[in-house]
Amino acid sequence: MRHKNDDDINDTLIWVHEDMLRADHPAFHAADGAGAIFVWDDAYFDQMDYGLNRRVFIYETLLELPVDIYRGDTGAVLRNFAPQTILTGKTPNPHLKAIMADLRATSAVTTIADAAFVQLGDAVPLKRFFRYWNKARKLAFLPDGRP
Amino acid sequence: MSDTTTTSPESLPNNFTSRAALIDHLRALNPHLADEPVGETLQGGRAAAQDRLAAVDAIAYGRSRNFLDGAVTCLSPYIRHGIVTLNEVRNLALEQGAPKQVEKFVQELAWRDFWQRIYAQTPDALWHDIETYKTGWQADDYADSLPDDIAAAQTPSAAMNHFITQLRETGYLHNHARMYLAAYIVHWRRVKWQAGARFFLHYLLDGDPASNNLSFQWVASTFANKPYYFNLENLQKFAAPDTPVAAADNQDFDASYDALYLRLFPHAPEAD
Repeated sequence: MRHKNDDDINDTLIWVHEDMLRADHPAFHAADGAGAIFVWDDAYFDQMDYGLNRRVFIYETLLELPVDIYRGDTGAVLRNFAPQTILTGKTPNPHLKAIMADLRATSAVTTIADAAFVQLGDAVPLKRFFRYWNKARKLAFLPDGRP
Repeated sequence: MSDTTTTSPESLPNNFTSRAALIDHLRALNPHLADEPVGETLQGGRAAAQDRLAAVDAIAYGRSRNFLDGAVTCLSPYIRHGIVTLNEVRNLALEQGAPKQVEKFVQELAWRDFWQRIYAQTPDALWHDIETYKTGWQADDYADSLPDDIAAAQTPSAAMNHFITQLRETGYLHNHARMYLAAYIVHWRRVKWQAGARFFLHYLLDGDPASNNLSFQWVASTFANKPYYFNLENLQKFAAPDTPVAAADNQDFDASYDALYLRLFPHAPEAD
């Protein structure tokens, strides 16, 4: 097992995707000093069917972040950098998850979850909102959603 | 970063002389979207989000959130893209009042958490009917695509046209306006919720497949026990001063709930 040193930082890339556009997302803290990139992927945006307004909003947000912006296919651009490790934010988005799965063929991909609303775990009833709410209510009114 | 052995990817600029220059840049990158308007009200970035956070009044929100000019936060696009978290918004609300005073505000944040949990567990559910319609109609009775007059804001209802224009031009709609417009598309026009959901997702800055589609399914009744619909009296009660709600311009909705139920859902069991 390798220890954290400068080489590791050079071999680690933070992949910032559209669900984590914040400079203090935990993925940034997990790899201080590592480079961060956002891939401006026209085909992905077309697949998500984002209008011009949304694309402006996302780009405007990127301008305030410590990221380099590259244009191209997300997987291809990330593979081009050939990092040993890719750190990125956890997301439910199946398109982004599929890209992460493909990247695992060439890099170690670690996903880092953002702060949770309630510390409930996954075993929550989701059939109707109020079943979820009955479980979540107590924690939802506590700072950081935990006792 | 490692040296690359293949062609380096195209680097895009990190700064622009003005917002207009950024918009021009994106119009050039996306010729197929070049004709779409770009709103001024909701701008990207943490600094803009910070201004919105500073303006949050969680107690007033609880009192007025259903009114189209109520004390809503417009934080949803920032939450959608992780620019702010549900956690920090909730923590902010807790500083503003006792749990009872900020209950509605926190509960609305919880809806987002609920939708995201469904997204994570069953992403395939988002585009399929989770349950059958409870409207007396079958899925096949609904049209597959959005009628042109809806896309063009040329429907017979002035209020709906107002909401459609707002959606397209600003990328934002008050939640109650979304419910009205979604119900109009699905129940009055009998269009599949998926067509309405696609339309919303294209334009909404906060468009999220989970929140958007599952809310549409809630309106449609494929993720609820009954369909959501409204009447003109309700629309007039919650309207903003600039919402065109005159009866003459919104005749489709000018009836009692019972009469509308019979008109919209004549085959539903309760209509017998």
